[in-house]
Amino acid sequence: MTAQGAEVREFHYRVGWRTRHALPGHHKSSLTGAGHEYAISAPLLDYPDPRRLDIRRSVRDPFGQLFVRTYNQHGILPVYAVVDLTASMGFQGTASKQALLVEFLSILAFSASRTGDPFGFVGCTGEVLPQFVVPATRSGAALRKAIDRLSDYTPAVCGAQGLIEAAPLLGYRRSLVFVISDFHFSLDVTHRLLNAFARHDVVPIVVWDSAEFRNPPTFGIARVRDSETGAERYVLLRPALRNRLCESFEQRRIALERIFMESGHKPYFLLDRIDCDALNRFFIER
Amino acid sequence: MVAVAVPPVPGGGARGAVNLYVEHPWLLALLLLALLPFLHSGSAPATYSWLDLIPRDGLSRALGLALRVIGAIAIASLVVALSGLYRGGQTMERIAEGAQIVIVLDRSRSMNDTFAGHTPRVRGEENKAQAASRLLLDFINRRPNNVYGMVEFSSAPIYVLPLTNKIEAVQAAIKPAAQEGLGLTNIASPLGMALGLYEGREYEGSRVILLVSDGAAKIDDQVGGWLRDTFHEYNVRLYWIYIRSEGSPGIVPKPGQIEVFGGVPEQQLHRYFQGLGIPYTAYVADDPAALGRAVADMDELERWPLRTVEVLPREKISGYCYALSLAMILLLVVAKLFEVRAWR
Repeated sequence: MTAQGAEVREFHYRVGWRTRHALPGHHKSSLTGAGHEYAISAPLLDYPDPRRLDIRRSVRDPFGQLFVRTYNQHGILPVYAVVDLTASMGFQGTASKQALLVEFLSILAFSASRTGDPFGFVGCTGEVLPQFVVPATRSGAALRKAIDRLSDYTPAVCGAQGLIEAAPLLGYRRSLVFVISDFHFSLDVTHRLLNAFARHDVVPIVVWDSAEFRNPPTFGIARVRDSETGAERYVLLRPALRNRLCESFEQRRIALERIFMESGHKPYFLLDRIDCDALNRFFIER
Repeated sequence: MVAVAVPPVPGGGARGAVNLYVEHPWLLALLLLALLPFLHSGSAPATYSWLDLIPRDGLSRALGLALRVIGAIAIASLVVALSGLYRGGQTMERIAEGAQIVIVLDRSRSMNDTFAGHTPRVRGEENKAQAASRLLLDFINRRPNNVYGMVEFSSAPIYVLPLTNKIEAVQAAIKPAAQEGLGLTNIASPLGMALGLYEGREYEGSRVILLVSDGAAKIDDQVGGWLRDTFHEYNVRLYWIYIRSEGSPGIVPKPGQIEVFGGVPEQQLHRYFQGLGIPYTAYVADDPAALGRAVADMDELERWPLRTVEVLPREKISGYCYALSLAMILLLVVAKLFEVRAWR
């Protein structure tokens, strides 16, 4: 799942809430069980586990009742990636967005398996692509296969409705959901998308390319075709336009950040390359 | 010419200000191809993720439109050029002021001789034809405002130039007259042809026949009568520049000279011209002042504004269309050089 021969690339995600998953895992859970995180002392009759007798509490009890300590067990956290496979994700600038996407999925799948969490992903265009629906699993082989198929896929379709339609596929249990897209659609759609995933902990991964705005071709006449709508426009590239393009992207960034933060999701802007350290920092700060 | 460039005459062959024609009209159907740049641009598009993020730019939009328009112009002008656009022949009325002069020039063999009456022996010795040509060129250069026609003759008249105000054409007609002539002298029929040049023309200024010859021939009574009538009908003046050879008795008999049998033809012709009842003057060319007098006499002639209709030849415009197309295509090539094929 990592690049062959390359260094092991993984990052550590964490969530600020307690999972309710029954299976023991890495993340804090609100379920009582075999953990080491003290939760509460309960009467022995309710939790008949004399091994964890809370002597101090029992001694202080005026009615002489025996208490046992209960602990929260750590549980697994289902991790999902909802992946935008529309044509705009086929953009090739400094890097190929699709390659970046595949790489990110590999790293994420590896990180999830290292953490012991089930990982699944849903590929979407204007609709959910059934061949790219992988339910949360800890089977590395199945994930690898699906991710390999993804790297052969050529993004061609337009639309973002699939991202919204993917929400019911993730189940009712609260999960960590990476929404990986360039978010090159209207803020209204973004808003609806976030609403659809309101149950989950969403990490928007905004995949942008510095060639899109910071390092466009310096000078020239470009007939620019929109990758999704196919609309064409002539653009006279020049430094002045580059500045306005950067400004346009900066405004877009601010608008996206605002709409994400309104629903409490801090976005991560993935620019040109995947920096696992930056991702770790992102999750620590989150 | 005093005034030129009068609008074309209505009717008379002129078709208004724009008279453009094409040789192959069916090719114009290809003009529809000029729409192609608006339907599809030939340049390779650079794919971009989301156009909405590229700021609207007036300059870019103008450039895009300009490129399409340039492409359309290039195709259209190419098609028009291929179809063979030309401006049809136009008639243009010009107004000149001066006389209508028909030069009747003797090209008989005797004009090859020198004034002394023998063929030139020394290089540079001028024969009569050269002298006549030189005299006439001199005359024309002094009087460029007239309308000239030209008839040459030896045994038979040769139609050279209709009445025209194009001085270059007249000069070009006179220059070769210095070459060798052949044949005999026959005066009556060239005069008839010269008179014929006035036929059907309005009287728009003094009409002059300028006869240049070194000899003469007798004009018989029947032709002479017809000539007389025609001279009167067309109201034509006659000037005769007589190039006298050495030993010629001249056109005026010297006092006491004995009349030869049958008469001297020059003298008879002179008498005949005098008897025509029209304004007639004879000049003898070996007198250098004679030409000056002839020119001065012309100046005294009545000068009416002379309307002449000039026929302009049809003019090919295809070349300009090709040039326009080339210029447009070059612009497109320059644009192509600056083309961004991939956005990276």
